[in-house]
Amino acid sequence: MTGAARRPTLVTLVMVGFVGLAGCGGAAAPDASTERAAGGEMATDEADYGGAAVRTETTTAEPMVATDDDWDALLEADGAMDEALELAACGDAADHLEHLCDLAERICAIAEETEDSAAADRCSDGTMRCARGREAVADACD
Amino acid sequence: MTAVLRLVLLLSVLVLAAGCGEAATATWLESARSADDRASREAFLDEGVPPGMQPDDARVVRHDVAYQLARELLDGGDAQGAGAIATEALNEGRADDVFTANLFVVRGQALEALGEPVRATLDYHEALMINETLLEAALAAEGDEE
Repeated sequence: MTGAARRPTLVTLVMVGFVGLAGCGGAAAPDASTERAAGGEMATDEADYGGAAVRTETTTAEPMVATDDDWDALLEADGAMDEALELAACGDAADHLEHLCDLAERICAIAEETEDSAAADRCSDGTMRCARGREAVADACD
Repeated sequence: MTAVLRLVLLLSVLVLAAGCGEAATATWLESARSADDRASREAFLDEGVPPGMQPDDARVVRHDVAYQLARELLDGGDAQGAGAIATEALNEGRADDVFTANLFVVRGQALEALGEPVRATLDYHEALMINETLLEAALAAEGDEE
């Protein structure tokens, strides 16, 4: 048993999801009249002329002012997100490495049992790829 | 994330995507999701792919169902049947993803069960290289985040 067969990784699923959802664009954009009817207030009116939004000032728009605390909170949240993404990527990498090395091990066991030269070549190649993968994961994730 | 949760997530996303298109696609995906025994998996694989579905999305779903069927056959002692299902699915298309890798692995295991271990090493090596590609992609993603 190689133990290498498994379900898709999260990254794969997210990618497939994005591909699948790409065909839905443009279907869900609310129109301004609907928003107004629902009680939405806009600081400026925007009229859509062939895709270009034309702004006509009707109220005084105040710029948003970010305080130091706002920036600190934003940077902290960004750092936490980076850390989470890094953990996920390293988790995926470790998973692939484990399967890669399990497969190499199985190939080598067969090569030893059968004394077949082609299988022995695949064993050497797999062992080399496993070692290279371990090194890469250690460099990136440890 | 558990394997089952991942599959549910995949199929849910595809079902959502299908909601933007044709009802036939949603029905097809639902039948993939609910295929949980040999008969229903075989019936699903006999169905055609709904028109308008992206070929690679369809391949992913068919590969996953084919893998589950092949695994079921192999576990039930039908290595010949398992190998045939995996080969048929691999002939529909291949990619550097876990779906294709799973099919190579289960076909390799079927070959071992049939007394052809050296041929099995070819399939295991194919799966091994796919895993290496996926490993490199994961590490590249990790590098991009730094």
